[in-house]
Amino acid sequence: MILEVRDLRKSFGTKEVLKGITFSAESGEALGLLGRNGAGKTTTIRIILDVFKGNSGEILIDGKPINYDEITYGYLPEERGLYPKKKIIDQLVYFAELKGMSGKNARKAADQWLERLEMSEYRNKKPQELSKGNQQKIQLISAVIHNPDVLILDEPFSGLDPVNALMLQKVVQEEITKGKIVLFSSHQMNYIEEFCNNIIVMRDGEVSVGGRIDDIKDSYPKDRLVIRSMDSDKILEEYGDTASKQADGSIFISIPSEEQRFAMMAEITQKYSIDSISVWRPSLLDIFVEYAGDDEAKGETK
Amino acid sequence: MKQFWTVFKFEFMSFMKNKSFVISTLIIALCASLLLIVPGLISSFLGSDNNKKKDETPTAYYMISNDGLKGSDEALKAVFKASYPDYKMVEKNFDKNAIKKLIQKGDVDFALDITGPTEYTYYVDNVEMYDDNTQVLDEVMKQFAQSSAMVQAGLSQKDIQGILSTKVDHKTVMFGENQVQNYFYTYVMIMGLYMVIIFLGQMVANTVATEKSTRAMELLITSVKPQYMMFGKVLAACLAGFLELFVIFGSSLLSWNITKGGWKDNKIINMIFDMPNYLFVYMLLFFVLGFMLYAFLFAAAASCVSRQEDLSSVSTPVTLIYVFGFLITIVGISSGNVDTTIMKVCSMIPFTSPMAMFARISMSTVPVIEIAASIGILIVSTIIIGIGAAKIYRAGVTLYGNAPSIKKIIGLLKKQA
Repeated sequence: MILEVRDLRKSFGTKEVLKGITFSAESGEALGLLGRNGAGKTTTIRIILDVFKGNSGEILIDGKPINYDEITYGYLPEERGLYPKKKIIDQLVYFAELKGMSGKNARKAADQWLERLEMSEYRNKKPQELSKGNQQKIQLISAVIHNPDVLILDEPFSGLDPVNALMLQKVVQEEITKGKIVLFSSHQMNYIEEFCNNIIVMRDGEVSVGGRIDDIKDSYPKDRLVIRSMDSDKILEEYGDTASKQADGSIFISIPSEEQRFAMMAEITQKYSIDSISVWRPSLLDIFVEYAGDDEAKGETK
Repeated sequence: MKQFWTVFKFEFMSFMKNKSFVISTLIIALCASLLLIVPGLISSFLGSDNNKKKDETPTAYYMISNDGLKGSDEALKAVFKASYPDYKMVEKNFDKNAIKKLIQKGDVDFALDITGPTEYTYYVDNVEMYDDNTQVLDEVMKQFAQSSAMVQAGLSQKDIQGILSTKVDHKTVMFGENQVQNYFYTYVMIMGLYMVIIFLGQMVANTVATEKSTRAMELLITSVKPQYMMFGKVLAACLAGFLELFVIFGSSLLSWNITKGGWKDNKIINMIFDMPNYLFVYMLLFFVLGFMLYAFLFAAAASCVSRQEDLSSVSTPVTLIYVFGFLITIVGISSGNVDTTIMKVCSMIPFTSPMAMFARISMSTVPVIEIAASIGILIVSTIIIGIGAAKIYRAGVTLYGNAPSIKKIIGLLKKQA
């Protein structure tokens, strides 16, 4: 199954929030939605979820306009949405029933999920009595309990301790493996790198870059080497202006042209004792800062 | 449709699990029952006391301080005694101060000073609502003066009696409604509707505001059609309201039945529990429609605020609309004329018709066509407002921050349409 968003536009009043968003996501893969606050991620998600309509543009499933009666989706909103004073089991069953499950199946599934995420003891508690992390688990259960085709997760791991984060990561990974379309929005780059093969970076209502993470990384010029070495002082001395020491102790060396990178690596490894040497590849954070940041920030990184 | 029932069930159970709702209902039911049971119990427990009291016939003093009447005072005394069979009529000369003390002490109920053939002074502590002593005496003195005049004119006692005992019979043929009786139904219905709208309407508004402030709304509108959400919510509240009234009036009715004897004399209470069936059906109809209409308005208003604290600022206008209709109807039924132009207009406007039309049906004779038109308009507007409320509810997801202006809401409605 392929979810396609084509040239989506949306204005609130005179403010144009989305200026033609286009991307696609496939079953069994997670698509990372990146962008600074206010870039239009949540608006995009809400249009996909049919909370409101876009001014123009299309949302297609396998090439046909999406039919909300046929496609099921699970949604974990960034701002958590649980009834603070209603029993957890009642809420989970309610949300699952609204998504089309029978009462009996919903109850069964809710109990299974609670057990799996070690939450059974909170079954009859109210969300207001739970810690933030535990509320988050409940929220995730309400997103996946009905086994949806499309899963939209907005900051799913914020506020979790590492053990809980790991537990939820397993759940998300499993959903991807099961063949769901997963849209994943987060500011925590490590999670995006872990789950997503594809990303889009949004800026001011536009997709500033999109595609496979590897391809994006490869599109950067391979004109810098990253070296870790005991002889860093000697290297800095020899390569003078083209070399610079980084905060983490590694050395960057600029290469005049990409073609020379293998020769230069060979040269350096022969001359000095080297712990590691590689052609510099941007991290996701670098990509984010370049494509999601404003022009000023872009200038600084370059 | 399944979603509607899911919402309905969930919302209804929320009411049933809401402690303040359940407890307040039980307390009101208990109070109403006690109010109805206790007087009955008291009269049956203290029945002997009451009887004893009844044995002590209250005393009333009278004196004839006009010399012109001296001649016929014996006849006058006899008439007094006959006219106040429940009192021990004692002839006694008294002065104003002495009688004041006696009356205030309770030894004497009232005193009469006959100051002339057609004038007298009535001394009493408090003039009670149903005090008819002066009416009786007016009549007695009038007859006495008339018969004296007739005697002077030379008529025989027999003739005089014949003339004075002339009786007039009358029959009442009622084409319309018994306004006195129906006044109370109308009053009870309007008060009941008021109570339920204010209480449950606010609860509906509260749940919507909670859904919004906790952002559960965002999950809900991505899971369920807002129309199902809105109608499920409001109908669940409506059923909960009915259940509440059923418990309150049911227990009251039961208590009334148990202690019926104790209420023999209280016409108002007995009238309320003795409503004609057709009126009951109209009451149900206007109650349900009126409640739904206002509950939708409350829900729509609550969708526009982002915090519970802002709720009152948007729900007050809705309450004001209701209070406006409430006042007009109360003024209408109190004046006894429910067919004024303003009532006729109000009985067609959906916001006021549940009260105004019901008042007119119960206290006057309204053409069927008008009733049908009123109900038709009300049903259609309730549905339209319900759908509008659902749209506002849905649009409410994007309305965070300050409460939006009416203009903005209308703009949103247009966009959704």
